[in-house]
Amino acid sequence: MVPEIAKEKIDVYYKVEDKKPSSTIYMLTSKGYDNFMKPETDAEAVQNTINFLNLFVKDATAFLLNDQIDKQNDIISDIEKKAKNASKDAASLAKDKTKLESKISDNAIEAGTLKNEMENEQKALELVKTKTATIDQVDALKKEVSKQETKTRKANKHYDNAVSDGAGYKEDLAKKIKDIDDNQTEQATIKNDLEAAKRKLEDLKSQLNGIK
Amino acid sequence: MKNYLLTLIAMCALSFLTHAQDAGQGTVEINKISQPCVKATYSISADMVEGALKKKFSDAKLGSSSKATDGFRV
Repeated sequence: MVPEIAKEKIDVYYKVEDKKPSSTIYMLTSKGYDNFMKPETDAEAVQNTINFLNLFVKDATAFLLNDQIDKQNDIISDIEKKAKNASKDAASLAKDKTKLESKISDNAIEAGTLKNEMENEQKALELVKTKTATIDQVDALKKEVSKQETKTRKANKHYDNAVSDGAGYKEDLAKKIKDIDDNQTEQATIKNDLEAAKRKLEDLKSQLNGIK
Repeated sequence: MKNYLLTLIAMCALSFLTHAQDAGQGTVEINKISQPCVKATYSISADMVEGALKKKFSDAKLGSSSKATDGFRV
């Protein structure tokens, strides 16, 4: 029984035709089998069906708005997840930046020490090269020079490695700073998206309240 | 001011939706026979309209048949 249409028991046949972007409902009412109600014999039921479909626009609009609200809540949930991830990334990037800054500071101290060592070894080499020797001391002097050359080469290499490491850390820091900038831009975009999505949700809820 | 604007936007949207139909009499073929019917057009997509109609019948605890007759649901 559909009280809005008829007091007696009836069958309601309906078909919804898609007429993008609109749609049309065809509704037939029957007292049983193919005994369809006609305006000539069932004027009140037919008029009630017309009224039913006229009022049904509110139900359809509410259904549409509820569907849109559900989808909008999903969108907000997705944006909030993105915001959470971006915030986590920001914390991780800040940590990485601090680590790199610490590495750069340690490296600068190490490079200073190694530079001193390198200069000292260089001076020692120059000194050993100025030494003179008798014929029977030549071999020993050559050995001493060779030993000092090896020490100087090693000291040079250690210093060069430290300088190279320092340059690498500085490059990494520049990349990290860029990542932090990008992350801040991303967070600002996400914040705007979230605010817009929440405004849209409020608008939909307001529309829904308007038809209740 | 914000609330006022939101309400105004909502009312405009609503007025567009609620005035997009006007039910009336017509005919439709069912089982190859033309029958009198009532038809109404809504500016809402078919899946939403059908979903709303099913919900309305279901909320009113009206029995429905899963069978379809010539494209018509009962």
